[in-house]
Formats: sequence, structure tokens, C-alpha cells
Amino acid sequence: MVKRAQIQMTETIGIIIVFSILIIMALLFFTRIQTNSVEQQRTLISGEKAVSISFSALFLPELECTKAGSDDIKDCIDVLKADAATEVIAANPEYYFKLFGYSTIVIQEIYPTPNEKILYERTRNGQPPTEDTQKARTPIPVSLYNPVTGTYAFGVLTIDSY
Amino acid sequence: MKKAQISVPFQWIYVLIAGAAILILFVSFVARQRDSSELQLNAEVTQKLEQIFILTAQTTKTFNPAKMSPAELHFSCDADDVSEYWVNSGSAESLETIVAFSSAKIPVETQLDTWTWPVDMPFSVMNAIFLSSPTITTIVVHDDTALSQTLLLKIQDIPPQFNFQILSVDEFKNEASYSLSTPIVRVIYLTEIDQLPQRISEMPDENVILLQVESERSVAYYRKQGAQLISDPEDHVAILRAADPNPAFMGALFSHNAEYYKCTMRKILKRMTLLTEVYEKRATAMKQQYLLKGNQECALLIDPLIFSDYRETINGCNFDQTCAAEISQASEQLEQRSTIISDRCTTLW
Repeated sequence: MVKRAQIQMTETIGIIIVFSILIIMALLFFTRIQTNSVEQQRTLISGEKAVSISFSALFLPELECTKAGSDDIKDCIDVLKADAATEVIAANPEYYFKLFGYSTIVIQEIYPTPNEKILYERTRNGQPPTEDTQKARTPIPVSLYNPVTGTYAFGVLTIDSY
Repeated sequence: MKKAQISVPFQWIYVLIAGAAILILFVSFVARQRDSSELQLNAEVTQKLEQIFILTAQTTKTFNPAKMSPAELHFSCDADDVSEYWVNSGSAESLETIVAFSSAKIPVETQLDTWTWPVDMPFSVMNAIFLSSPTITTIVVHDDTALSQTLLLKIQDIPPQFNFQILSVDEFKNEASYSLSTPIVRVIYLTEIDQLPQRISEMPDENVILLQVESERSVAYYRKQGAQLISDPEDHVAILRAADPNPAFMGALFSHNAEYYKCTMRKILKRMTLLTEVYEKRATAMKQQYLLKGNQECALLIDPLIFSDYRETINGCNFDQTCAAEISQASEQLEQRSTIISDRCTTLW
């Protein structure tokens, strides 16, 4: 026969177990919320990183058009600078990695002569990017200026951030 | 002893164990919460700083009082050209492609003051950012000499929002004439350096930044050790010449010490070197295109070697007076050359 003291002890243990389960559940719940908010923060930061790389590329003195006696011309790429910059960037990968990180920067001429030039490319796995590679793409319409001929072309500066 | 008598102390033991377990759980929960909120704060402030540095790339000549959560910002740039910043005791982020002139520590209460200015030597190199906060008091000590007054005019190019306190030597000595309630104090001497007033002298050494502007081309940093002020030969830096407000001069006023200043200026020189390579290749291409077009005059005027000569001058400069003067002179010559060529052909950059 079960005595009263034994029943009381079983009750106490039961309460402790239920109470502990409740606390553990609450802790798990808060930890999950915390992890989610950290994940959200991480996504936000990587989005901002993509914007940061886009701005770095767009306002790069190595690419920007300049005209005598005036400030830099916005949203304009000097094609002669771009050709030279491609070589200099390739020769100094570590410096430009600090600016552009894991990304691909492409200058594409749309009109009058369609063609494209890869200014910078670095992926996380070191392999060329595929269709499946996760990226944030920022296309920026630009004018492409040749200072010797004084002609303009229409193009797009595309930045893929990985 | 009967069984019922034993069960009562056992119940108390159970209650104690359960209580302790609950208490441990709560304490660990609070500790975890504190760590994660600190991490979150660090991430938030780092994100804000990232935004500021992004803006630096595109906006110039702008003063921006950025609202920020309370945090302690740390900046470093050393002799090995490792440049980083970190928030509180968080992880360090690279600052190697950003020209940020700052004190080693900025305690932010609500606001971080930022000012951007372009560095043109003579072509556009990058934008410099000057950082401070209302928690840093900057005192400019001047006298009536012509040099001091000239330097004072240059310092007045700095946005008034930075709240520099301009004091004469006598006012500086009379401590009642100015307030001093911030944790960090920067004293810029446009005069001979003198003994510090007692209030500043009693502050922790690392919270006092001291520099003497010897001329427009030279600044000497001092370290406070108790009541003593120490400056070694390597604490003297030469300033590159540029149009006013000269970012190289302003940078010296915002930098923590000579090592930080030289390291930050080397970032500018590194970028200048890369740009001269771009412009040298561009000049070669331009020369060829002019030749193809039959424009002999422009083909003759454009000389790619002027950029390689300029690069030679830049390389290896560690901001002694000789190399700073050489770079300034080469920059001016390059600008003159470019003006002549751009009038007849096109810009050299």
C-alpha cells in the first residue's frame, strides 16, 4: 500500500519535472527567436555588402569619366580607363579583393557595338560562377565614353555579389 | 527514525536541488541574453559604420552627424599597414581601403561626427573621412604670431559642427575659461608646446591626444606620460601639399599619433600608385589612337612615362620632409602638364 509521504514525494518530483520541461521549452523558444534575428541581420548585412560593392565599382576613379575643368561625370565609364584598369586589377588581386570581395563586375556595351568585358571576378569556390551560384545582382545603366574620339556608347555595369 | 520523518528532510533536499537548477538556468539564460544583446549591438554599430564608409565613396565635402547606439569604437593602423576597426570588444573589420583619420578610441554616446573630403593628387585618388564625436573635446591653442594666425585660418576650414574650442595661450592656462567634461581631449598647439593645465594633466595618459602644428608642412605628435610630454623624431610627420582644405593637413589634426597618420597616408599613396599604372596604360592607348587618327601633335604631347616617374617618386615615401616635398612638386608638375594637354587633346586622367 502506498503511504501518504510517498504520494507527496511523487507529486513533488512530478511538479519539478513539469516545471523543468516548461523552462526548457521557454529557453528553446527564446534561443530560436534569437537565432532567427541573427540570421535576418546576416541577410541584411550581405544585402548591404552587395550595395557597398556596387557603389565602390560605380565611383571608382579607375573607371570614372573626367572632363577638363569640371567635376567627374556621374554614371559614366571611360573605356580607355576600363581597359587599363582590367589589367591593373588582375595584377593586384589582393588589393581589389578588399574593395570588391567575392563578386563579378562586368561592363557590357549594349549600343552601338554589343560586347562585354569582365573587370573583376572572384567567387567563393574559386570556380567561374554558374547559373546556380547564389548571388545578388545589381545592374547599373552607364554611358561608355571614349576620350580620344569623344564618342559615347550605352552600356550596363553589372555587379554580381556572392 | 520512522519513514515519515525521513521523507520530510528529503522533500527539502529535492526543493533545494530543483531551486538550484532553476536558478542556474535563469543565470545562464541572463548571461546568454547579455552576450547576445552585446553581439547584436556590435553588429548594429558595425553595420552603421559600414553604411558610413559606403557613403564616403560617393559623397564628398559633407559633414554628417550619424546617430548611433552608445558604443566604444576603436581604430588602428600600424607600421605594418594593418588597418582595422572594432566595436567594443567585438571582432575586427578591415579598414585597409578606407582612408579614415581618427583617434584610436571614440566613445560614442549618441552621435558620430563624420566629414568627407576628396583627396586629389593631382587626379582624384579617393575620399578621406574624418571621424570624431561630441565625447571628444578639441582645443586649439594659438598666439598672436603670424604663423599661428595663418594656421588658425586653415583650421577654420574644418566644419564648425566639430566644435573646436579656439583658445589663446592665456585662456588655455586659465582653466575656468573653458569646459572639459568629455572622456577624451585633443589639444592642437599652434604655438610652442607648454606644460598642460592641471585638469588635462590629471587625465589618463591614453585619453589625451597632443600635437603641435609646426608649420603647414609639419606636425609633431606628443605622448603624455603623467605630467611629462614626450616626442621622438619618428613622431614628426611631413604634410603633402594640396589645395585647401588640404586633407593631408586635416588628417594630421584628426589622427591619434604619427604611426596612425603615416599608415593612413600610405593607403592614399598605395592607391595613387595603382592609379598611375592605370593612367600610364591609358596614356599609351591614347597615344596609339591619336597616331591612328593622324593627330601627331596629341600623340607627341602625351607621354606615358610621366606617370611612371610619378610612381617612382611615390614609392617608398614614409612622410619625411624630403619625399613629401618631392611628391607635392611632382603632383604640381603633372597637373601643369595635364592642363596643357587637355586644352589641345583630352584629359590625362
